[in-house]
Amino acid sequence: MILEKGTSLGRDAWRRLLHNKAATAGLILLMAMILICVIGPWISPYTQEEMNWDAINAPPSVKHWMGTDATGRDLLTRTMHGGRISFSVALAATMVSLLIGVAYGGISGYRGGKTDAVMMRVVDVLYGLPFTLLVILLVSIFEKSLMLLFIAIGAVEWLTMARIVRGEVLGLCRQEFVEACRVLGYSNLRILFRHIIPNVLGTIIIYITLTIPSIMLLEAFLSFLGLGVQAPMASWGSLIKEGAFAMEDMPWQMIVPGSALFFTLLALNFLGDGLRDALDPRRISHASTTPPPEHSDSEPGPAAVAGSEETGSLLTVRNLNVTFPQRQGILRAVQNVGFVLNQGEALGIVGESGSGKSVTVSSLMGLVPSPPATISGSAVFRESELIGASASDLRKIRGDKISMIFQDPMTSLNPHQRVVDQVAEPLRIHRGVGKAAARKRAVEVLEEVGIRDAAKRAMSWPHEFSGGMRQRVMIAMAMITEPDLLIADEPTTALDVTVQRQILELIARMRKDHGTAVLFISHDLAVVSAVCDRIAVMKDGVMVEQGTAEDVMERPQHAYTHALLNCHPGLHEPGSRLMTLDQMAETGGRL
Amino acid sequence: MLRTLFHRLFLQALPTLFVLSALSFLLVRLAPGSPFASEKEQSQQTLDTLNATYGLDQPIPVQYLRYMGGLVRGDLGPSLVKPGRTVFELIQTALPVSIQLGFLALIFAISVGIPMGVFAAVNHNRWGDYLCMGLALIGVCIPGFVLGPLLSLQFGLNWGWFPVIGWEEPIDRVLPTISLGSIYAAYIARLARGGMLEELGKDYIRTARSKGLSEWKVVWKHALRGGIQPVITFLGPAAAGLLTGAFVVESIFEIPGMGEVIVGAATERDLFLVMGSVMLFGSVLILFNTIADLLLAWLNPRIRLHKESK
Repeated sequence: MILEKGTSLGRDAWRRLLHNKAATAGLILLMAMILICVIGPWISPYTQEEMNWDAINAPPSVKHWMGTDATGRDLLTRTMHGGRISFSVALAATMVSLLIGVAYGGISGYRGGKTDAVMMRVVDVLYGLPFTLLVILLVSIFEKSLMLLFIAIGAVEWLTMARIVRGEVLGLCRQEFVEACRVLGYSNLRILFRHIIPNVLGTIIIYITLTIPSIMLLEAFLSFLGLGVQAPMASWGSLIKEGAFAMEDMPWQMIVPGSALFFTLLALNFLGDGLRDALDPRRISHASTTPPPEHSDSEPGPAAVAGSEETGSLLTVRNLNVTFPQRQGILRAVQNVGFVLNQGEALGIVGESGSGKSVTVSSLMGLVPSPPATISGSAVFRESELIGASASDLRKIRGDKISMIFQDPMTSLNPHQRVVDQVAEPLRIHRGVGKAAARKRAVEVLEEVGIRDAAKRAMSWPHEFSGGMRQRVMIAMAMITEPDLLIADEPTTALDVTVQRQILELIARMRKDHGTAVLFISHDLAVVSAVCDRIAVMKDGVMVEQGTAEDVMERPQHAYTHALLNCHPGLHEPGSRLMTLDQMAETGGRL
Repeated sequence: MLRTLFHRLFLQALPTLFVLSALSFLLVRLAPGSPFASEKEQSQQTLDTLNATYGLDQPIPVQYLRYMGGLVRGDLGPSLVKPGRTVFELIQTALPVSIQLGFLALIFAISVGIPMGVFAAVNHNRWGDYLCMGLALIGVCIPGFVLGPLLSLQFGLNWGWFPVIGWEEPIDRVLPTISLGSIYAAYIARLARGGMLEELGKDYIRTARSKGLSEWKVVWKHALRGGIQPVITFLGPAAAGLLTGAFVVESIFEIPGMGEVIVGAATERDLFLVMGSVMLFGSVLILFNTIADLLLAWLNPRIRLHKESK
């Protein structure tokens, strides 16, 4: 069964590899190079030792396609012979590093605990050694032989392999199938080499594609120093060396073996990049995610025409459309959305994930990259049109008149900058406030959003704050310029319930104290209704309903709003069943 | 920071230096051949006297301990092959040359590689990206010993812009530096692009943009610190590669560096000269690794705290 799975996985990877044009080209080029080096010398009318005193240093000609060297030997034949050496050194040394590295890393990762700690300590210490230097010592002290070269190079390269394999094995050991093997009474060796290592194969192959070029380079390097392959044998490195010193008069003597090395490395790199794409499990999961369903054209919803023409309007959005090109057709993420937000008002936009609510506000802020997205419609903030405004005009508004806070406070702060400087930054760029003054103001705002001991805490790094505290920092950062509009994109979703409440209260307080309008995005009707005066409901990029919070909650017009209300506990009569629960009952308890 | 340094020095640097010294000492001593086997035949008696003079008649562990004792006191010992000369004398002109070449090439690699990688990441999947990555791919496939002769042919011999031999004037340093550094510039460009792409996709970059920062500031002030961390991690191995890679570039441009000294010493079994060169090289490498570690800690406050709290 494992075999079956293996082949299908392998076939899948192979298919993906062939889809990658660069990788296929690399594979073909590499195969061609190997083939030429293996077969070429048999076809060639010359041998690698055959000297021809009549054709010393002959430039490329019909007789000698790539010219000859200082003793009249045919350069093409020598280069092909050298390729045999270079390829076999690369192959053999890779095998050496593979054997040692996989065994060492596998055992270290499988045993874990103390054994692992000691074995990895050894690797760490060895890692610090100037290994190339030791290889140079080794091959210059002992009699030069190909065998020694294999071993020396392999010994350098196994360390990284061991580290990588160990990391993978460590992770796999915790999985159930290994437990199952133990229960079945398999020996440790069998579990490790029959069941765990095959699962690491993808990673190993990826790493091999990195190892082979580096080994070929190292071999060429040693041969160039005269420490590798010895005459009369030649490798590309030693040929390049011979050529390098005749560069002035006989440039072909360097360029021919040099290009052989160059094209081989190029092929290996193309192939390696392609294999990494084809075998990397992370990329596989990326590739297999289904594209979001395409939406059909739909009538402009009732929301599109809704919205009052009051004089106090701060933001008026009309017929906003955002589309993304997809592999097949286009994705209409936002369709004919329109709404009006008055000064100091709070509007909630509700909908499930993928309903287009985040895209709506991001496109207002110029944060949706376009292209690829196409944005049309109109959004007038005070007197200025946001849609189609130049990037620099948008930047002036962004972070000054309109601020944003985001869903995940754990990742929304720069981990490499002190909290105080991040909070102070909008003041510095929009108002030109000096560093010290901006910091001082930042501390005041941090205090205002409820960071205790703000003067001291301000100098901390984001990772020293809890999630709730970070969201307070985000709010401080957004409020420091006293914006007219605060856009809150799911600001409480990533927080636990008690913290959610505090943050909601904070947003409500900031709104009251500073008269800031709020555009609040959430999938949670209860949260939105707690903060907002009006609510708009979005589904599949369309605004299906809009009204005062009371109206939407008490008298929902659209079926979807009904559904949203019904799947939320505590909003309807006690005792009635939740919709999802009903569905669960129907399917016999299965989700 | 001090803690990191301490940890680095005593738990990593000293064991590494110990292993390095023991390994190279053993290698040279166990190898067949003797430093005193010169062309003219020497009597067994002369050999014995010579061995006794340098303490080579003792058991190997004793020899090793004696040597290490001298090393700790800063005595690198005499050369066994060149009578009357100390290791220090033989190294003192060559080592600075190699280190200078390696350092210049490193500066070149960083100052070309990082802007290239950042530019490619900012222009992801546009012509600027393809151009930079195409160049980097070509760079990765041309080692210094191929690039060196090509450069010296074109810019030195054909166009006469730069000298092709020597290490006297500042202008002598141009071609060797580029030859040695280009492949590392290419590696660094690839690493920097990958790191920056990952960093530019993070949430805090969206926050920075939402603040109204210019794209320039978003990239260089916010994303760069995180984005170049793969490059910093690579600095240790790069320094190792550059210092030893300098050997071939030295031979191409006839630069009087360490390459010749080390290969010559090892071939002639000049024990103390080999040991001195290797230990000095090892120390320089460890210094570089430590600098890279400290830089990484400085760039990433999370690592810094994690290590200090340990």
